Amino acid sequence: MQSRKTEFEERGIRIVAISAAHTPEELARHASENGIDFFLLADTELTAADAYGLRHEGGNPFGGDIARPGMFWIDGDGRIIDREFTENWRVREGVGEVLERFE
Amino acid sequence: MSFAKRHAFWIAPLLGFVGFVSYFLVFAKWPATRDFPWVNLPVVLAAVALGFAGLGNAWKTGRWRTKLLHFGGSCAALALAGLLCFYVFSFSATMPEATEEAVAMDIAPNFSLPDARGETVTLESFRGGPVLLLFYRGFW
Repeated sequence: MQSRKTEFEERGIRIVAISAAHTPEELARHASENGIDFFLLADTELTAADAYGLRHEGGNPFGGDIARPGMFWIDGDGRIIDREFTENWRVREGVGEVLERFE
Repeated sequence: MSFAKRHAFWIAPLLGFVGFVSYFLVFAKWPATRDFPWVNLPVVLAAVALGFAGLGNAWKTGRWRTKLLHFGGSCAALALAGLLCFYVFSFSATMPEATEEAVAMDIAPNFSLPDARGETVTLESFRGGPVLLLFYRGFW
């Protein structure tokens, strides 16, 4: 995602990535190690995961709940214009396909 | 092949180890080798084939030390190959379906969460422009 960030910027698209398994400190380390400068948000209480219906009970191998993966394409008015829920957390769409869904 | 077969007791587990570890350290970085393990699956399958060759050696030889060596090496190779296949095809697919709510929702619910600097970010603050919202766990 990071390597093709300019393609998102050219289209005025903000990338917001939410993790239920990381604290802000862990996200900061992750961001600096991988040169990430889009928004990484910590959802340790799973409030956002619940709001979007993505809680995965007992899903954290180290114990507790996390969020199942999901992507939402949101327009400028806050409407969800598309969504994708992978069946395997290793598998996700490429940047090209992701951008196409905003067209 | 006869060299590989005779040395299966160390080549097979080495292939299994390389095939397992390199998925996470290297090949998960690129979509082409991450979504389906095009590189790692052949490597661990080679480990499985050599592992069986090693079991054949263990069966045939009369010397107990050689028997144990080949048997141990083969078990390690088969275990590592099995572990990779389990992770890739089963474990990483173990999660609930997206809820009906998630599938049907029209308006993106607002949220207010801390970012990496500890500053609170709301979805509403991005109004006026498109947003790609990702819920992720590893591999993103």
